Order: sequence, then structure tokens, then C-alpha cells
Amino acid sequence: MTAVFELMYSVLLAAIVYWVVGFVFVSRLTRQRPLSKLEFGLQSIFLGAFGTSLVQFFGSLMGIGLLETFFATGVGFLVLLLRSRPAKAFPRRSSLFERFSWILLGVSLGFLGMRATAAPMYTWDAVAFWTPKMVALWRDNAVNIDGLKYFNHPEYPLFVPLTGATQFFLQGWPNHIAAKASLFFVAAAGLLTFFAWCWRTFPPLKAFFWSVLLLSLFVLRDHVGGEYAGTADLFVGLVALLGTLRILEGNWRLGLVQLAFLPWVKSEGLVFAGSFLAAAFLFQPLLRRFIIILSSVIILPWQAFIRAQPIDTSQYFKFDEIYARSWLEYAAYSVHAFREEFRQLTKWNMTFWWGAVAVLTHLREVVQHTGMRVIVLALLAQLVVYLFVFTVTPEEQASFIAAAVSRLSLHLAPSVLALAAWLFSTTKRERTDEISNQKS
Amino acid sequence: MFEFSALPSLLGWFYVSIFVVAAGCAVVRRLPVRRFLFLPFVVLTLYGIVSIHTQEWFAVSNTWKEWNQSSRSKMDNYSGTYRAQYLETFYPVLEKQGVEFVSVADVDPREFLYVRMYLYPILVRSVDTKEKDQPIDRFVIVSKKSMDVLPRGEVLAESEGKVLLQLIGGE
Repeated sequence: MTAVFELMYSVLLAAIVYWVVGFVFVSRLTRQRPLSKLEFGLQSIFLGAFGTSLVQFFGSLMGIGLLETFFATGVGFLVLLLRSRPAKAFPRRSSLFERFSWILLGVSLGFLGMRATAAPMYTWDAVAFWTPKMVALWRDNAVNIDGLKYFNHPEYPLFVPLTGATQFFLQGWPNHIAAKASLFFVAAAGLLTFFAWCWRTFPPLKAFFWSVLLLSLFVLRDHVGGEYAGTADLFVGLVALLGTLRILEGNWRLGLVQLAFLPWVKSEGLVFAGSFLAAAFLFQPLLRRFIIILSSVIILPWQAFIRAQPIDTSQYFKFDEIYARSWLEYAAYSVHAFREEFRQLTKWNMTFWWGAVAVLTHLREVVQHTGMRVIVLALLAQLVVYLFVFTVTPEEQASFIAAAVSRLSLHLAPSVLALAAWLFSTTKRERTDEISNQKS
Repeated sequence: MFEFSALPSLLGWFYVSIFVVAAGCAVVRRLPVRRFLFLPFVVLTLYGIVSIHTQEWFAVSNTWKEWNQSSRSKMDNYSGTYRAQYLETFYPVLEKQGVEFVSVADVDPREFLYVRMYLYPILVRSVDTKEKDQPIDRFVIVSKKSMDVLPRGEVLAESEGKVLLQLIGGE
């Protein structure tokens, strides 16, 4: 058990800082639409992890060390927390069935946690650049573009590397297990937020069904506790999921803040966030100023920083040899790739089936409900972009698709599942009530 | 000419059932009857859930053995001696010497990833001792067996069959 204790202090310390940072934002963004206490705490940890790493990046730009910024962020937001009004919680009591279900979900998540912390990162991408960037940030105590360039993909954003580097600081050495434990903790907070939302929103049996379905997706489990733990694709899916939940229930501001962090997790998140924010900008006029401010504060800094650096991205745009390509054939192959991927029951269970049937059987409602319209448009836009990328990629198409299609589908699957859950487990009246309250 | 009869076999039961169920819901309004449409798919989903958790359960005992070790042991299970060699032995010596570049001889691509990571910010160049006339830095990490092919040098550190050499007269 000493193996557990050597990790706990650094993981818990980071979690406390994330909770404090997230608390300040979540309490301000949910005044009109409170969450349950459990959901509030978990959402705070999840959102706070992204906020903390972004503040560390800002601190580095100002010449302040990453470790110093981490502690200063914790102290600063603690002061804000103590001075803020107590947050309202959505009052609810849990039944015996719900408590039993939480135990089962906890055991399943616990198995994943054990797997996650039984091994270091070992997939190629994690060893080639995600973990090395953690070491670079730890050794430099700063965001140093030369260090990022040395380890490939310098344009990849820094949520995962900074979260891992924070653990290296707190441990005093590059402890890969601590980094993985912290990333698992944040992922678990995201998953548990979804469970808590289900229990607050749906009847008990349906809440349990959708919760355990999400937890049973093989690809998700592989990214939380298996081979791909330590990479960023899982967090794209979880950030999109939590943003989707908030938009569905009408907590637009919290949802959009969450979604704005998509480009901070991975480069693919830029189009995803852009789609969500653009659709929200179009259909929610009262939120336009908020969206502009959000984009300027959360999305713009990293994008501007990267574009200001002398980074060679020509490898992604070598289109010379491919103009002779039969575009229709390549596009058709891309469509077939996703068609095959979505019906892999061993990877996705019936997630995409439930999502498709949900949308088709509630089509008119989806079109009329602002939130669902935004979510479906964003998911479709992201899918179209992936199809486009698979069609025009300079790399050998079949190999590229084989390597990428599962993790790109992971970006979409959790939100598809949440949408299906919402449509099948709430009444039309409950969804109609949300339509009339879309102004928040 | 596209043959529509080929569509079901192309789409498979997965996609065909989406349209069948959606069409059924459009026709059937009564909820209890609609539930029958979904029942097989609920059962299939539950089967998938139980199946994945059963696999997880059977893997627990193996996971427990690995989990109950120290972080250093866990890292070594997957990357062998790299941590002991490069992070804990060679890096402190190189850092003390103020070295900026080091050559590493005869490492496979995966080991090179670990070398590059653990020795940062010291920049690493991979060299092949079998190739003559290739530039080698003044400081080089090489296996003990291949030491002799290199110019004369002083051994600064040694770990798990590898040595850190400071070449006399190197670049």
C-alpha cells in the first residue's frame, strides 16, 4: 500500500487546487440553474484542472515559473472562494437503488483506476511526445517552445503535459505513475459528473443504464486505464460530453466555458469548439458577447502563441503528389471507415445506434430545440472535418485511418450517448421546459 | 446502375435496424408497443455491458500484482533499465559537466524516445558505431561491448551494461 501513499499526497493536493479553481467558476455560472452537491464538486474538479493549467501557461508567458503559478493560483482562487456567496445546490435525496448503483459504478471505475496506476504510459504517442513534454515543462519550469519543438508536435496544446508536469514538481522527480494517476483523477471527475447528472435528470433505472453504458465502452476504458492512458483524446471526448450536458439542461454559460477548453486539450478540439461556439453564436444572440470574451480569454492565447512561433507545419500540407488522386474514391473510403467504426459493437457497444435512432425519432424536436440543434450541428461538423482530413491526408490513407479512427470517434461518442440518453429518458414536457428557459 | 437490393447487405443489420426502428416509431404511437421495438437492442446493449465488465473482472488479479509495486518498479516493468541508466545515472553526471549535446550509440527507436526524454535539456544524437566517419559528440553513451570501436575515452559513469564516455579529442 506504500505504492498508493507515495502518489496520494501529490494527486490530492493537485485535486484540491483544481476544485478550488473550478468552484469559483462553477458557483458563478450555475446560480440560476444549480447542480446537486456531488455534481457541483466533481464538475469543479474537472473544470478547475483545465483552468489551472491555462493559468500556468499565462504565468509562464509573464515569466513566472509553472510551479509558482500553480501554488499562487490555488491561494488566489481560495481567497476568491472564501469571499464568494455560498453556491446553491439542487436539493435531492438518493434512494437505496441509487446508492447501490453508485457502488457498482465506483467498483467499475476503481478497476480502471487500478489499471491506470499499475503501469506507466506506454503507447507510442505517450512516450514520443506527451510524457517527454511533461519532462520538458518540469525541467524548464516554463513553457519553452524549443523544448516543445524538440519532442514533436509543438502545436499540440498543453493541458495533458502541464497536468503531468505538475505531478513531477510535487513528486520531485518525473514519476510517470503520479502523472497518470492525476490524469485518471481528472477523467474520473468528468465521468462521475456525467453519472451525477444522469441521476439528477433521469429516472433511476435509466440513469443507471446510461451511466454504465458510457463506462462500458471499450475504447473509453482503454483511454482511461489501458494502453492509451496518458494521451489527450479522452479529454476531448469528456470536455465535449460535459459541455453537451450543460447545453441540454440550459446551463449555457457553464457549457460554453467547458467547450472553450477543447482547443486547450488537443488541436482537433479547435474545430470542435469553433463549431459549438459558432452555432451558439448564431442561435443564442444574448450570449454573443459572452462567447467573444470566452474565445479571447481561453482559445486565443495558445493559438496566438503557437502561430507566433517559427514552427514548420509544411508536413501537414504536402498536397503536391495527391492532386492526381481520385477524390471521390478517397472520400468514399473515409465514409466507409467511419461506417465500419460506428458499428463495432466490441468498441462502442450500441452507442452510435442509440444516438442515430434518438435523433431520427425526435427529429422535429431536435431541430426546434436550440441546444440540441447546436450539439447535432457541432457533432456533424466535426465528423465532416474528420472525413475531409481522411480524404486529403498526404499520408497513406488506409494506415492513417487505421491509426486514427477509433480515437477520433472517442471525441464524438460520449456526446452522442448523452444526447441519446436525454432524448430517451426525459419527457417532452421536461425538454420543452428547457426550450422556454434558453436565455440563461 | 446502383442496385438498391444490395443496400441491406452493404449497410448491415446495424444501419438497417436504425431506419426500421425509426420508421416503426413513426407508425406506432402507443408507448408499450414502441418499447417492444427497442427491447432487443436494450438486451444487446446490456449483453455488451456485462461482457466488458466480466473481462475486466478476470483481469483484476493480474492488475493487482502490478499495482502493488512502487512507481519506480512499475516504470521499470515497461521500460526496463532506461530510468536507472539515463535519468538517475547519466543525466546527473552530464548536467554537472554542463554538457549540451551527447551522442547515444546503437539504440533502437523506442529506447531513443526514453533517452531523449530523460536527458532533456541535453540534446541527443543517435549514432551507429558500425558506420565509420560519422560525427560523434565529445560525450557519448554506448554499450560496454561496443566501447572498443570508439576513439579512446574516459569512463564517467556506468549503468546496466552502458557507459558514459568522454572522448579524448572528440567534437
